[in-house]
Amino acid sequence: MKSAPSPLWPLLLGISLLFTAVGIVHAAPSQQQWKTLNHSLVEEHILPRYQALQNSTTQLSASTAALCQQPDQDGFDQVQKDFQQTMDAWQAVQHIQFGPIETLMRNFSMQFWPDRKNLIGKQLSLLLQQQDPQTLSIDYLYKASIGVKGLPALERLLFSGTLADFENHSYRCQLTQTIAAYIAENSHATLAEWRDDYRHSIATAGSEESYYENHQEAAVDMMKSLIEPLEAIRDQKILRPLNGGEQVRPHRLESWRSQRSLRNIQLNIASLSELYSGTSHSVDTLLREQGRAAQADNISTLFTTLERQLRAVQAPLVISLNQPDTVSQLLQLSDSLQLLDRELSAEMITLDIQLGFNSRDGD
Amino acid sequence: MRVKSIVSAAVLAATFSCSTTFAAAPTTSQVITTYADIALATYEDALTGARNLQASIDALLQHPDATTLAQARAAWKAARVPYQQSEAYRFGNPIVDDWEGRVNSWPLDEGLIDYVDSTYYGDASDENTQYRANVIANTSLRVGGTQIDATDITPELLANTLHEIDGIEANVATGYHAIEFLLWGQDLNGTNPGAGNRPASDYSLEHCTGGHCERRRDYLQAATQLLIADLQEMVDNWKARGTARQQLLKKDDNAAIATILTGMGSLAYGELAGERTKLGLMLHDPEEEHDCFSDNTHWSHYYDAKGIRNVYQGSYTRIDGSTVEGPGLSAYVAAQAAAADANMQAKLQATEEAAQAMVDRAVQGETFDVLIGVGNTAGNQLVQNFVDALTEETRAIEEIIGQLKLDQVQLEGSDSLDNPAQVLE
Repeated sequence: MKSAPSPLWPLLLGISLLFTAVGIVHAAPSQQQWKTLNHSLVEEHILPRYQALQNSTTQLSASTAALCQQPDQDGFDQVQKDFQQTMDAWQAVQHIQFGPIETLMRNFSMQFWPDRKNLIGKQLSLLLQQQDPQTLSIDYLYKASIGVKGLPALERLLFSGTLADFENHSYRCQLTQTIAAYIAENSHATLAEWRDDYRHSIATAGSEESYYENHQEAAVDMMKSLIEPLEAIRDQKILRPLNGGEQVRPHRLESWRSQRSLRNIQLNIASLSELYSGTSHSVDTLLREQGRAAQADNISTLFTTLERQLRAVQAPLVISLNQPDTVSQLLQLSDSLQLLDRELSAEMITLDIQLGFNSRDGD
Repeated sequence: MRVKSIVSAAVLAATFSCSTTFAAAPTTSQVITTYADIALATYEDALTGARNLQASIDALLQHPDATTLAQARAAWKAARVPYQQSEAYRFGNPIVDDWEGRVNSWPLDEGLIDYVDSTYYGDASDENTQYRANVIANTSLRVGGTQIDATDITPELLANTLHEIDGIEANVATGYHAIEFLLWGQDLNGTNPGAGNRPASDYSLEHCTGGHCERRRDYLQAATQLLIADLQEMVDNWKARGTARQQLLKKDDNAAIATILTGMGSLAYGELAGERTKLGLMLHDPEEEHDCFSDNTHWSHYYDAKGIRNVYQGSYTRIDGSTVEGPGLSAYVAAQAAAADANMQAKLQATEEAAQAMVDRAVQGETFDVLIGVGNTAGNQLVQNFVDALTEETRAIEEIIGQLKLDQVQLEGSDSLDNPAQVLE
C-alpha cells in the first residue's frame, strides 16, 4: 500500500555534492531526538489538520443534503462556501501522503489531479447521462473510479452548474450529496485511524506494535511530506500551466473552476512552513541542535521569500495567468521552490535521511 | 495485516553489518560495459522488430485483408518484446529519456490522428483543442490562430508539426502507440473482453472504409519509417563510440552505478507501478492501459519488468534466442552487500511471477482492461499484486543504494539539478 502514484518526474535520489559541506561530519540525530520530533509533528501538525478536514467535510455533507431537500440560492451559496472551506482544509494537509490517507487509496479518492486525459469530465458526464439510481450510494462510490468521487468531481458539479441544476431532486444534486457524504466518511475514517492506531504506531516505533522499525524510519515519512511536495507544486501547479514558454494553459491550473488556484499554493506553502518550523520541536530546531543554524536560517528565509512572492501574485490565477507579469512572478516562485528543495534535501544528508524513490516521474 | 512501511536504507545500512570481499567482484567498468552491451543488443533487436513490422505493413498495404492485417498486428506485438525490455535504460540516461517521447508516448488523444467513436471519447477536451482534429480526414488544421497545411502526410509532418502540437503531450502523432491505433483502432469494449477491431478495408483503395484510405496508408507508412529512424539513432548511441555509452564511461564509478539503479527504480516505481498500473486500477478506465488498442498491456508490463532484471543480472536473451551477458550489477552488489543482493533477486523473481499471473489471465481472455474493471475484485487484486511486487522491488533497490552509499551522488538528468536557481534577489 506504500506506493503513491501521482503524475510525475525523475527523482532526485540524493543531493548534489556541491551542497554537502566537505570534511564536516555531523552526528545523525539520536532515536530519542527523532521520537520527540515525530511526537510534535503528529500532535501539533497532523492531527489538528485532519480534525479541520473532518469538520469542514461534515459541514459540506450537511449543506449539500439540505440543498437537495430545499434548493434555494442561499443554500447553493452555502454549499459553494463549504466547498471552499473543505478545499482549504484539504490543501493544508495535502502534503501528508502516508498513514491512513493511503489506506484504500483515500488520497486519490479525495483528489485525482492533474487529469491529463479529461477522464473526470468523461466519466462524470457518463454518470449524468445515465442517471442510474444505483450510483447514488456511498457503497457504489467505494468501488467507483477515483475520477467521480473526489473534490475535483464535486467542484465540476458545483461550479459549472447553476441552482436550476440542483432543483427537483435532480440526479445531479443527489450525486453531489452522495460524493460529499463519501468525502466526509473518508475524512472521518482518516482522522479516526490516526487517533486510534497510527499515532500509537509512530510513538512506539521499534516495538512489535508499530509499523516502523525505529523512530528514524517514521521520520523519513515526515521528511518526505516536507520535501516531495515542493517539486510537485512546482511541476504541476506552476510549470505545467505555464507550458514551457508556449501559450499558457489556465485550465491546467488546480481548482481553476472555483478560482482558487493561487490560494491552494499559498496554503500548501504555509503548511510546509509550519511543518518545518511551526511546532514545539521541529526540523528547524533539530537542525540547530545538529549545529546547522546557518542552514536553518537560510531555509526559514526561503519560506519567507516564497510567502512574499505569493502575496504579490494577482488572483484569480485562471485570469491573471495571461499577463506577462504574472508569468515572470510564477517563474521566480518556481526558482525559489527549487532552491528550497535543494537546501532541504541537502540537510537530509546531514540528518542521515534517505528519501528514496518517489512516485513522480514523467512521460 | 500490518503493512510494513518504507524501510530507510540508511537504517538498514546501520542494521546489517556488511563484509567486503573482493574475490569475484567485477569492476565498475566491467559492469558498465555489460550494461551498455545489453542496451545495444536490445535496441538492435527493437530495430529488427520495427523492420519486420514495416515488411508486414507493406504486405498489408499490398493486399489489405484479414490475414495481412493479423500478420501486421502480430509483428507489432513482436516488435514490442525487445523495446519494452529497453525501458530500464530510459530514466537515468537523459539521452534516452529525451528521445523516448518520439517512440513510446502515451496516453494519446487518438482523435488527432483518425476517426473515433464519440460515445465515450467525447467531442471536446478541457486540455486539448486538437482532440478531434483527425488529420487523416483533414488537409488543414487550425491551431491557435494559425492554419497548418497537412496536404501531404509525411514523416516530417508527423515528427515536426503534429507530434505534441499546441504543446500538448496527449497529441501523440508518432511512435508505437500511433501505429497501434492505426492497426487496431479504438477498443470500444469498455472493460469487457475484446480489443480494437479496425477492418483491413480501412486500408483498401478499392473498397475503402472509414474514409480517406489513401491518407491513412500514408500515415501508417510515415509513422513506421519514423520509428525505424528513431530506433536506428538509439542503436548508434550505444555503439562503441556512441554518445550514450561515452556519457556513461565518463562518469565517476559511483555515479555510473547510480545511473543504472536510478533507471531501474524509476521505471519500477513511478512509471510502471504508478502511472501505468495503479492509476488504471484506481480509475477503472479501459483507456488507462498502456496498450489500450491492442490489449497487449500484460506483455508490455511483463517485458518492462524483465528489462529491469536483465540490467541487474547482466544478461539479455535476444530475439534470435542467443544471449548477451557479462559481469552484472548483481555480482557487483553481492560482493559488497550479499544480503541486499539476495533480497533484490527474490524481489525480481516475485515481480516476474506477478507479471506472469496477469499474462496467464490475459491468455484466458481477461486482459488488463478487464482486470481493472469496477467490481472485478479478483482481477483488481491480481493487478494490485503486481503493483505491490514492484513496490517491494523498489525498496530493495533503495536498500542497495543505501548500502553502496550512493545516496549522495548527483544524478544527471534530474530536472531539479539541471537548472541552478538564482533566487533570493
